Amino acid sequence: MALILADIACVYAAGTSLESAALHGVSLTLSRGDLVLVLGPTGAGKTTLLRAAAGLLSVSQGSVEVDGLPASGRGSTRGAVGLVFQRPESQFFSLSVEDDCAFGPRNLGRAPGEALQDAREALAAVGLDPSTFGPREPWSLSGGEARRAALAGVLAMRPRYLLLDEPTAGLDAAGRQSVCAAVEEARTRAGVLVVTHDAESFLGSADRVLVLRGGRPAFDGDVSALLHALPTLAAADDVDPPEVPRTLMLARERGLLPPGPLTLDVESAADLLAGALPGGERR
Amino acid sequence: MMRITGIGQYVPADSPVHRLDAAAKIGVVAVFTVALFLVHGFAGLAVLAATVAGATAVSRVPVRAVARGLKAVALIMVLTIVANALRWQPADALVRLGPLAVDGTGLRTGVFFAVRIMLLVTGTSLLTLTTSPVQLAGGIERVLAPLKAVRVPVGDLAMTLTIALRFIPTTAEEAEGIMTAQQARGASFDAGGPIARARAYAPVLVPLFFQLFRRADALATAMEARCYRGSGGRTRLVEDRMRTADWVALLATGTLLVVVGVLL
Amino acid sequence: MIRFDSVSFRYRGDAPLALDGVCLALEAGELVAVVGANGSGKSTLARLCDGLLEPTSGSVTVDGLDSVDPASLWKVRSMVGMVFQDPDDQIVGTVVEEDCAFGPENLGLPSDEIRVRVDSSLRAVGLDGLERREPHLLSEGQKQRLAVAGALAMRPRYLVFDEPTAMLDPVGRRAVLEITERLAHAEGHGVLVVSHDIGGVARADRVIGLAGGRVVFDGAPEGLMDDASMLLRVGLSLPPAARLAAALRARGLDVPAPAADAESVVASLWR
Repeated sequence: MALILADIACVYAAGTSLESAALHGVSLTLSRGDLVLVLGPTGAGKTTLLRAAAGLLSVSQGSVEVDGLPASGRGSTRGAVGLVFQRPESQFFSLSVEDDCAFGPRNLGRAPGEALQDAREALAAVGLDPSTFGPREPWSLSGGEARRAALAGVLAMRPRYLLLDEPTAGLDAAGRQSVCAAVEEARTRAGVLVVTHDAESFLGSADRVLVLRGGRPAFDGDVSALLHALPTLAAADDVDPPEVPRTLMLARERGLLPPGPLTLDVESAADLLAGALPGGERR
Repeated sequence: MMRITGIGQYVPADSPVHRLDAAAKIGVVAVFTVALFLVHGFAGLAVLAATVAGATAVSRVPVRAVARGLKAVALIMVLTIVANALRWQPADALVRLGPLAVDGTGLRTGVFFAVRIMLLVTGTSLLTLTTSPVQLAGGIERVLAPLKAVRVPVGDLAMTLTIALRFIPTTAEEAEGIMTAQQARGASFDAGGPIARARAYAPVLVPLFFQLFRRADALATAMEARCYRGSGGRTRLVEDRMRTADWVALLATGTLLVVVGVLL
Repeated sequence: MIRFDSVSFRYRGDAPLALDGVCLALEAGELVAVVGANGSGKSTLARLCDGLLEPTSGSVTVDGLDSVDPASLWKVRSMVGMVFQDPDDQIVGTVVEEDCAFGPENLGLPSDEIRVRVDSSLRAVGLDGLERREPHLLSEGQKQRLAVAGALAMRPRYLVFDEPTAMLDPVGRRAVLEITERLAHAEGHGVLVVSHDIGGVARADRVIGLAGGRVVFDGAPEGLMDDASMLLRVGLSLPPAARLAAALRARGLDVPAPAADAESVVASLWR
């Protein structure tokens, strides 16, 4: 039971002079409860990957399967994959938050009462109390609240796989934290795929990381393998390294620290540095 | 991303026609249109057609781009010919189809009108194909400048037009984005009758308008911050002026076309 | 300098104060970051700098000129360049150079002078060579640099950036942050950056923290970085580098208190 992208390729404007490959040879497996990160610079094909995974874009090679069935966004896979776009708060159209969140479930054919129930439940899941936030106008919410309400609108469809495009972009620290907590909650219900530049917020809890460069996989592995490859990936501008491993990388560049593994953890990083420097003591 | 490759969309190039001042080009097209309606024989049409063909060749605009405009009016042209040529039992019949027949005089009239439509479309689209929207807006502003005397805010209208042109691609991208997002939430835009379909677009149109109004407000603030206070007192990076070459082109084609229009 | 003298502001008569008795000064050559949580009044503060909003009480002056006096308003606006969050909300032209020319055109400058300013402004932000490009074909980072060039073309003494990196990817963000720093330190503009981008805060000479419309912090960024409760108050979280610095101090290393980013941690270890 998983969302499986097998060796997919996507070509834009096929057969014209503008033909360009947006993705090539990309494979990915997303199981329930997983958090998979997709990193890479702008234009690396991250958003195309999301659209293909959601069945909104047909692939020119390979296959996209949802729990063993081809993904098409219709038939039995309809509603199984939820997609939250960049800045989803710009898509609100109802006068109340809960009504907007019920739009997806209603489109799946659920009765209005059931759809509203789903909406309220999803709002609670993203940390927005449905009795306070449900009746409010979507445009009156703060940045982080609006982002989470939009996330609830997709979560309300009860997708088995949830795909998020830059969920923390443009938010302040509190907003980012609240979205990360909502993503953790979503993970208890679905497999979650996050496309992001914000490695800092998500890397600590990811199960697997895919890095794209020019539409092709530049890295595919778990977090410890990513940390191993981080200096190379950072040098190629594929990944913006989180501050803690970046400090260790800088310290190595200056010869303060012998070559070795990187870590995301503040305490182990401090141990590494303290062990290598005069006057420092390990804990 | 949505690409708008519309009819008569500007094709950048460096040609004498491109370099011609926008106001001069608007003048030439105006004279051309008048000539087109004055002309009463095929000889006149032939001269006008040759003028358009010559200008197209000099402009280095691909023939495909010009033809795209013709495709849009092809149906009208065919209908014009058919409506004029088909008669109920005419005297002078070329081909008979039962009681209907193709009439020689009618066919000639039909073709004449169809060619006139064709030349009108190619002539005007040559203007927009060789003039950037901004130059065009500037040209319109200068052509309409006399209206300032009767308090028509020509400069502000031209600025509005320029901004509208600037935001077409942005808005198209935004509309496409919202549509895909609502589709991902299970919305469908092609089911049911016309009313159901119109209703289905609410989740796209409401946020799109909301965005547009928000953007308009933000843009007004940004323009004010850059010292925009109406078109009065503004200067331009490229001061378009009618130079000698533009006057010569305007007067020469003008004379030619009027002579053709009146005589042929 | 730009000077706020007990400035208060409310959007409507019955609305709560968005800014409450704010006093501050921005000198030429200085890079100042303004931080604050959502709704702390930081965007309001930015708009007061060049008379886009009128103080409810108190006054804003730019080199001694009143920002809302009709006689000096337009002079003030030409002296203070603004760059906003969403580049698409501020690009007016249909090609790059034409947008950059918009400000000088409004100032009524002669064409050849506009040309000189456009060319130098586009060069200053690294957009030379793209003069004829249409804005929607630029990346978000390039669009934001175009917005900066458009402000620079007015030859302002001060530049005010309102969340300039919020819409950008890391590459675009770094480019804009570098530009803000260069404009202040190499070219002597007074630069005010409203942001919740910790990287931008770390580069500033001085940080002004807002909470509930009041100035709750005004000092060097180092003084902010170790104060977890103050950071929280102004909408920032303790930067990972500051946590690492604290962990290093706990291990007996001489890392001075403030550390906003990896560079400052490593620099203090290097000494």
